[in-house]
Amino acid sequence: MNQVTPEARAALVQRLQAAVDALHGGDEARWRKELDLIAAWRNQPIMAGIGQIARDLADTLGELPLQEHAGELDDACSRLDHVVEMTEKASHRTLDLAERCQALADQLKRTKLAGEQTALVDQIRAGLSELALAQDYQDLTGQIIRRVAAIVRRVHEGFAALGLPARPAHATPANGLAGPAISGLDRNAFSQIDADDLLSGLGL
Amino acid sequence: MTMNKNMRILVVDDFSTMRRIIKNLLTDLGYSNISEADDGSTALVALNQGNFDFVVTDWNMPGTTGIELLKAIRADARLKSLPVLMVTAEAKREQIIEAAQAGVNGYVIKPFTAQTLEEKLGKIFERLGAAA
Repeated sequence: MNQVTPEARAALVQRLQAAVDALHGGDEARWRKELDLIAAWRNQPIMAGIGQIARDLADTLGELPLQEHAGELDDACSRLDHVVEMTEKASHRTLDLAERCQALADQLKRTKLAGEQTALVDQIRAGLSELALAQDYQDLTGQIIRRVAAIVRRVHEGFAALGLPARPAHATPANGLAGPAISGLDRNAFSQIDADDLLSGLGL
Repeated sequence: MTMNKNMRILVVDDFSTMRRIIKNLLTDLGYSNISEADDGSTALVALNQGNFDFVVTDWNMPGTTGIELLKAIRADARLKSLPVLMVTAEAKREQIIEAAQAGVNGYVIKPFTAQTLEEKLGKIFERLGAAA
């Protein structure tokens, strides 16, 4: 609960007093109006909370409209986490291959090569080093994605705190296509083996 | 301290790809005695167990961050003179100042090139050599 400033307290006392006076005096329109003003005052922290959440989102994502369902936010976070895992695996695969090719280049250099060929092998090796270094995108994009996921989670928590329903909805874009399947999230997703089984069952 | 190629280096980053990239670059530069840690607290455990000569650390890590690791190193009687190179995406002026005030020996901003890493390493050892 937000702290009540002395000014706010004084204003509230005034409003309550005015409402009581109106009630005693039988002025129904007036006491209803005073109670409405008190109710509006009570809602201020909630409005401020929503405003903060919207600002958090806008700051990080630019001007994005809020998701329709809070439940989708949770799903979106899991997908972002999965992107980080996928890029991590892909980067390691690239690094594996780059290292293997570097070893081959070193092996080639130990054989009898013409001067021109040695220079070419050196260039290939340098290119492979650059290729390995370029995998740093995984760390950099991963940090950004984790940051966005943390903010989306905060928004989700914000919605929960406001008592908005967090339905376990699975996000499907407007075209109805789910995109790459994520294990553990897309339980209905088919593997190649599943697809092959299905197709062979259909006589293909 | 000279650029002893056998020195024990600890590479600290929460991203396994980045640890591997830095390790590869250091290997290319001739350093072969390299260990890894995935955050500041595991790094401190490793530092207290082994005789490390050099630390390359990220800043933003879950758990103990790189700046906390740096401060812990500087506050530890046994570790305080250990050279620390920060390799991080944190690129705000005040962050670089904070790291410098905490006693960092070098600061490389991600993304970086192999040349940048080599330059900063060279500079650190040059300065340490002059101070010795």
